[in-house]
Amino acid sequence: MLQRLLYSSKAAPLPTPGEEKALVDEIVAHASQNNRRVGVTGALLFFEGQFIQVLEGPGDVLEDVFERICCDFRHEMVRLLDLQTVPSRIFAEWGMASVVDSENASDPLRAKLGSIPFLAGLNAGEAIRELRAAIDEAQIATYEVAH
Amino acid sequence: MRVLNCLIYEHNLSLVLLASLMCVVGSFVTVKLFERTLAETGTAKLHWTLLSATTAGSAIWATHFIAMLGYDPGVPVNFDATLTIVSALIAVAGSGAGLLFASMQQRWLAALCGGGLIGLAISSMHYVGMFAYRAEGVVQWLPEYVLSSIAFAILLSALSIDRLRSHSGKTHPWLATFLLVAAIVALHFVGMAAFAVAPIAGMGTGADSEAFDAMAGAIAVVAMLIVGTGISTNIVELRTRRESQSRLRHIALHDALTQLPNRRHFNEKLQSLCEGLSTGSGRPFALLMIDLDRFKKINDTQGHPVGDLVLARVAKRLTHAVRDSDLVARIGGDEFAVIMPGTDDAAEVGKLAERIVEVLSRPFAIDGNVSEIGGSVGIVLAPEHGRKAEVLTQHVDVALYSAKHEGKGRHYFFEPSLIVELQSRRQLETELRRACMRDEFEVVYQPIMNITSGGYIGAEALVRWQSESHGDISPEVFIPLAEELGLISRIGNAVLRRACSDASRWPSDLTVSVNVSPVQLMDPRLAQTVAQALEETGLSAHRLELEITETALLGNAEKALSTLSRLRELGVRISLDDFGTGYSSLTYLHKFPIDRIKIDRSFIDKLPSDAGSASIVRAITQLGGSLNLSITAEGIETDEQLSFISGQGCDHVQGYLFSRPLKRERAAALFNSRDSQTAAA
Ligand SMILES: Cc1cc2nc3c(=O)[nH]c(=O)nc-3n(C[C@H](O)[C@H](O)[C@H](O)COP(=O)(O)O)c2cc1C
Repeated sequence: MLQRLLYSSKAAPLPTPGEEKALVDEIVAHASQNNRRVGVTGALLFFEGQFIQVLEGPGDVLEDVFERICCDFRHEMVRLLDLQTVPSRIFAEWGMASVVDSENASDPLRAKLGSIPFLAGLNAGEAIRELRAAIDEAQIATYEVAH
Repeated sequence: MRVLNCLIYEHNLSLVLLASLMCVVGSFVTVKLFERTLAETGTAKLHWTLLSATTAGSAIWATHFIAMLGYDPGVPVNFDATLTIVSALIAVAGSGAGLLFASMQQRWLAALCGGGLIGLAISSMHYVGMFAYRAEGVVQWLPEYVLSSIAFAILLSALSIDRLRSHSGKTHPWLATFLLVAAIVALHFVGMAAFAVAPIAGMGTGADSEAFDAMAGAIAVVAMLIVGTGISTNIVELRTRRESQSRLRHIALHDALTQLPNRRHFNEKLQSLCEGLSTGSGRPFALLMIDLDRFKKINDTQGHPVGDLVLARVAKRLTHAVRDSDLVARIGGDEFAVIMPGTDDAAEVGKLAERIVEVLSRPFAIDGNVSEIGGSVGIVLAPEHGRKAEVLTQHVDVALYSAKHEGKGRHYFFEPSLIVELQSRRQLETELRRACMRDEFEVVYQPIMNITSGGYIGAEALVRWQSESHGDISPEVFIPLAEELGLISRIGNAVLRRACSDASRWPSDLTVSVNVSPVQLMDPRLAQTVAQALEETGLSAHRLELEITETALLGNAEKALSTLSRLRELGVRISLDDFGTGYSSLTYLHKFPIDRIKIDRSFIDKLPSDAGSASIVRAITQLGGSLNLSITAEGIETDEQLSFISGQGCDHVQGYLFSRPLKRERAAALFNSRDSQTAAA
């Protein structure tokens, strides 16, 4: 059964602005490799010290991946915001796509990214769709998207 | 002297050396196998006897035969094949029989019979072997040497078995080995001294030494193979046994569900660290005791299989949180412990405790459901807080208890003052239990006024408790304690009965309100209890009002609804207490059969200056109006509050402005003096 999960957490310790990209790249490089192997896809947003991550895949596998993430001390205050059975994937292309807020990004894009953490707590479905839209937009703007 | 001469002048030294090697190695293995055989029972013992006898017999026989080949009588020599083989069989069979006797109960008997038999076997093997030895000369036997050789063999073998039987421990039984070597050597060389050959003139001289050397080598190789097989069987068997023992030990020291060390393992580790401290060689260490919060709820609502999965994941998370050198153990249902050897730095230990609390506060996703638990941690540092295992575990429990009672999801270091707090709390618990048995609670009544007429409409029953050691205890303290101790239903029922009884003596237009705890509301017998109280006291149902809290409705709405409906059928009225403090689900208020809402005193307190409170009060009164509910404002203390409230369409009021809670006699006197319709201060 395909499930989708959304959670938020805070980076610990908080990286300096210069370290953010490297931190996320390190996590994502390993994560996308792991995820592809087990049939999990998803996206990770890093914005102002906060992670917002979507994971989708078969229920049991998804729970295993999430449990491993819950053993990780590079972040804290892990809050599971949504866990649902879904008909199809939204991030099928990526083992783990990622977007990191950056000064180089366009203002509208940054505004969109900034709204996602707030939206996540209120309306998970909407937050996930916004994240997908932001990733597409970032790609068109050749703003870097890891995969 | 003759023995020495015989050894030096009549033997080929290199073959003697080979024979000695054979003898020493053979004896070493033999003793090892004997030792093993003696330790076995049943059919295993027979197998080991067979293996030992074959090995021992071959080794002894080979020693003898090689030494024989090294003997140079100075005349041509031949061997009788049949007798030679018989001599080998005697060695094997005799050792086997001896071994069986060697396990007799009595040690001396075992040594005598078993050892004696082995000595005899060695001797018979030797002399039968000597008959097979055909020297072409005049053979002469010296009986005194024959006899003493046999005596030596028997005595030394018996001593060897005796030593072997008394040997215990992990070292090889060297003395028994030495004695066996001595038995074989003595028998052979003394026995050879008993034998003399004189050449017959005209016959060839000397043995065919080259052929003999080859034969000796071949025999040595074969015998070594047999001995080698014997010892390697023993080694392989020992290793499998050790592996299965270590597997058993692992099982005994680990928890099957989480694979963590178990309580026993933890105790052993703690004990050994404490012993280190007492001998002065040990380093300091920290002990953390972890108790899961809200775990029982998972077992209760999601079932034990899910609970077990959570425990297994908790174990993994803890293992991730600690350092490699720390020990994580599961010591009970949902209790875990961590030992941090070599650390007594409170800051470092506190950091680990925070990691533990953090990692346990993260959600668990299992089978599509999400469970949130949490953990409380108690900490002691050794030797700072104690040096003995019992003291440390007691103190860590005190710290854990404090962590749990100061709101859970936190860690607490042990402090001596915590013991005092704990003791005082324990005492309070005992007194509360006793008060409950003896029904020592007092019920007081706070009058409720009609805001328009200014007359009494009834009173709210409030419970009071005076503890022996602590004096007046606020309900805010003892009610949660009673809930935790499972006493709340009892107290609630006692108050209910008393209130009904007291109110039955008031004028019949006055009501009494009684608080009902969430636990009581979830009890399906509540309606029956209420009906019984009404019947016993003769109070008519419409004069009783039960006050419930919002949170009680949220827990299990269906159950609450069914209980409330039954109460309503009795004719009892229901009011919602502390309104506005909970989830404020104004929307589903209409689903429940409620007659009245009571505005919480925390809003009234801030009236009329606080705009937020004022608007909440306004919203509540409007809601009450639209749902046709009566509204009571609690905690009115000032005239300003009263005038604000009266402007909002509130029906009833209670508070210090009108009257403090009154003892039952005073309440009855007040209500029954018909003319006294003004408040008592
Ligand atoms: C914010 C964040 C997101 C992560 N996302 C994933 C992920 O999607 N998949 C994954 O396998 N690991 C992810 N990890 C890493 C895991 O926590 C863990 O380190 C990793 O799965 C261990 O993999 P390994 O067993 O191959 O060493 C994430 C870590 C962090 C801090």
